[in-house]
Amino acid sequence: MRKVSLKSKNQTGISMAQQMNRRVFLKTLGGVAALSGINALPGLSSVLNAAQVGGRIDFLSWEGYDLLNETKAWREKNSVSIASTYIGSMEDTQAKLVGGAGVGYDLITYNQGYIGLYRKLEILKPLEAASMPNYPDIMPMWRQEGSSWVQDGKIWGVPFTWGAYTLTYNADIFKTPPKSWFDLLDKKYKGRIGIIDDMLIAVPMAAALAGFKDKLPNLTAQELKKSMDMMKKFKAQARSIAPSYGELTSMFVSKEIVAAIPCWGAVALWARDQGANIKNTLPDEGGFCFVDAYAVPPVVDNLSTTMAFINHALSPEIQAAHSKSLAGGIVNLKARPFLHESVKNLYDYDDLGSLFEKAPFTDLPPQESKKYTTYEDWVAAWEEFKVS
Amino acid sequence: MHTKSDELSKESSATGLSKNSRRSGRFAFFCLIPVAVFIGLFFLFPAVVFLAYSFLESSYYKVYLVPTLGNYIKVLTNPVYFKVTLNAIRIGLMTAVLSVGLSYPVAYFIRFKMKKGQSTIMVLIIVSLLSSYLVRVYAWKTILGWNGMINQLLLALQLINEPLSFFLYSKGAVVITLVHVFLPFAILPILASLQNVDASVIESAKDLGASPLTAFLKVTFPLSSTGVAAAFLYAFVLAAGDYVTPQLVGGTSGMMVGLSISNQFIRTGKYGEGSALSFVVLIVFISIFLLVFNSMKALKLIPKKQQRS
Amino acid sequence: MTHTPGHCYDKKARRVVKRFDWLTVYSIVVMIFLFLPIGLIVLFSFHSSPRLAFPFEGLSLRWYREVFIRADLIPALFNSLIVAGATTLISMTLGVLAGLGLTRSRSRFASIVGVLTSLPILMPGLFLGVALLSLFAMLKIHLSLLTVIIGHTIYTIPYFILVIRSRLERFDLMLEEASRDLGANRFQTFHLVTLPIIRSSVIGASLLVFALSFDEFLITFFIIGSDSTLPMLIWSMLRRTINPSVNAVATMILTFSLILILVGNRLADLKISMAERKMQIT
Repeated sequence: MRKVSLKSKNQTGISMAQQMNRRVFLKTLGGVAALSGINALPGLSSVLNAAQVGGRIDFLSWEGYDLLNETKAWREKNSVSIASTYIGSMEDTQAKLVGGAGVGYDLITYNQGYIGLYRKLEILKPLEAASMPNYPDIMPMWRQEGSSWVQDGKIWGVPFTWGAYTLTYNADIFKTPPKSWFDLLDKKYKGRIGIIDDMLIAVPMAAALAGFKDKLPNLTAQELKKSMDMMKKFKAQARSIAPSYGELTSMFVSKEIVAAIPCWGAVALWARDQGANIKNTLPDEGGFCFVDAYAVPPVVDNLSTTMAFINHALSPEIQAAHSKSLAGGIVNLKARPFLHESVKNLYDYDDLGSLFEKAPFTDLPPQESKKYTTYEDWVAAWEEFKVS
Repeated sequence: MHTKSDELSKESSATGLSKNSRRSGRFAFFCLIPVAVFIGLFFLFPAVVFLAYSFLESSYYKVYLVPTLGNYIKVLTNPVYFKVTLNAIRIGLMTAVLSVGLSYPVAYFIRFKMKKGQSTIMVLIIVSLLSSYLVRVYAWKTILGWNGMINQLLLALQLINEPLSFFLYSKGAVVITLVHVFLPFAILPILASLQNVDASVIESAKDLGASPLTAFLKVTFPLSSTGVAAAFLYAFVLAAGDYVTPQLVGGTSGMMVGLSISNQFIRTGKYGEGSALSFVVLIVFISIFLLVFNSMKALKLIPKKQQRS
Repeated sequence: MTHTPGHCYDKKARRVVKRFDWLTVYSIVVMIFLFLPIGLIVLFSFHSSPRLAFPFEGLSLRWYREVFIRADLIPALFNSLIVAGATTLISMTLGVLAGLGLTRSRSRFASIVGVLTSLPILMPGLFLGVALLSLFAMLKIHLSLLTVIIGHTIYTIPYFILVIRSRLERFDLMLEEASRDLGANRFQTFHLVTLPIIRSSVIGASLLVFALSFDEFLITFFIIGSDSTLPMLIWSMLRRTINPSVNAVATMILTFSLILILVGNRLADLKISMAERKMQIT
């Protein structure tokens, strides 16, 4: 049976579960005592020895990130099964883990921008490099102290896939790749542009277009407003604010849109699979990159198996396999020779430095700040943008 | 013919507290206990707690024991919330009116005009619900889109030269899709309440000289009013609370309040604000529903008091 | 059910026929509106290319094969069936009882319960999901399919009760009185008199509840353990790449449930007509 630990860090704040506990205790002693004996059926994982590899990994993240097909052989060999709940947005992870008082998952992922928030919410467990023999093989930038994955001498996350947000366009319409994002403001594209409904990428994009790229993620209220006003110009050109990249793909394929701002590189790949001539380009104003890292919540049932899984995901064969299926970049360059044709040149692995300079990794704005706009301010600004 | 039941009914109407009615009162009470307990524990209790939260400070998934009216002030004064709620109400009302309007005649047809196959058609309608909601919304994109069925048809008939773009990614697309998705929810309660209406009652009204329209307005419709109310309620709340369809087919035409509530609970973890918004929207929805319901009563379309047969 | 006296038609034959035409046409049009998208869903499940858009490029069974290859679709489908089935049973039981109680009693308690049962419908958005998540966290109830069933029951029971109330509202209580006069106890009365009469509404409302539960994925996400239900899976699939495999799943569900229900219906009709015949003979 999983023990739930309720930690409250903040002196003035108590987690909801604790608070509700107090109130209920004061009000209905008998009823709660009777009810708290309820448990669901115990999970398989609790039956097996914690030190061995085997059993069930409870996974909470994007569909596809559980690498069900890619790791099939390894899992059968080690008797590992994965039970997955898929999220619809990064925030679903924290909503479920914190709101449910840390219940029930062994493996999650986080986007690099979320490290600050997730450490504050205390939903990450420091990981041991020793339990991942493949760890030293991943590129140094993903293992650097001070990065979004290694802080205070502890490993909080292990990057395993990444991608770039660039300008995706229909090559039948744009005979030459657009050189600037502002090319999309041309009248002839009115109602033919797609925007992604992802605040974490759209707001930085807006800031970059308004000239505040260097200031990110610390924007003053004025700078944020100017950025959103700039983005509204693109909204006037937009057909729709798509809730997902799959949406953008189908809009490209059915010719609803001819370009998307900003757009994940994978969309071009998927659209090509469906017969549309879609390409990516990085305009002068640049773009952004994201990287997703595996992480483990503090309340974990099956740590050794989870670490073995992460390690396996870093191996060259699996890196190459999921690069194809997730249309993502690899973090372990030893996988390069194994890359599939379709993704070999997805990113220029010889010169990733210049890519990351033009398309840096986004960060979340501060949670609390007197001077700069906070995460809550960004959410409000994005909502206002969608409604305007 | 003087039967025992005549005696009993005389007795109950005389005293009002016959043994039978007392027993049925107790019986009814016991029938209600299970659902009362279930809803009390799993809905009322957490809802009250969240009502309390709406008066407390909160951020990042923590609620602080600091009382405040700030959440409600924010909810009531934020122009974004106002816009999205208005949007939701508008879409909800349009969907509800269209759903009820479209489904009443169909339900009437099934109930009174179909001799055979009533249950078959009902089954077909309900089974259509089992095709996933998301897949159905996508089917509408196939119909309304740039390359969709309607455009292809119009192009083939040479009525237009270029595909029309306003079919999809517009408020209209949202309403059409929602009406389609929730139509079975409207047909069903109306059909259920029409089962109560005996065709001979309508015939008698007509025999007494009423025109078909009068018979309908004065006899049929009022007798089926509970069903109509239920259908309207379903279509309205399901449509007004929906925020997935507008994201998929609504284009830039506007967010609905469900997404704002989702944002407060999921993204910013401001349970206080999310709860306040939820309760304000609850009151708005109830008010609208009561407004519609009472104006129908005023128009004498619905009887003031329910008659028991 | 619709035994209109024959002589009325003779008198008003012409008027009846005219209305018959308009209403029929109108109903057929609405039916087309209702079933056309369903037809498209089935059509595109056989699309030879991954596009969910016209022009239609040809037929193929590839998506049905995809569905069976995928490791996660079938378990998710089973989870959905289990949850929807259990939700329907619980909602039906609680709902029929509640419907009986609400329409037969005029006490204050009944009206309060009546209002209470309609509240969950009116709570917008994910309120139910988040509230239940907190409740389960506090009561230390592990998240699992059971918690999802509880959540779905709360979500669907107002719908069931409203439909069943519409039906029970004008139910002729004299029939029950008569049956009890003839010696049947309360249970027999319910089973042999009330239930057959409201049967079609109960079944209809149950199917409605089943459909609601089967399609729900927003609330479900919050209160599920490390599982997925089918709509959750489809929602997350649609985020990355949209292809007709979801159409294939939907078509399969439609076909199976159609067969199941029509067969069940036919069996039930057979049972009734056999019973009727028996009564005629005796």
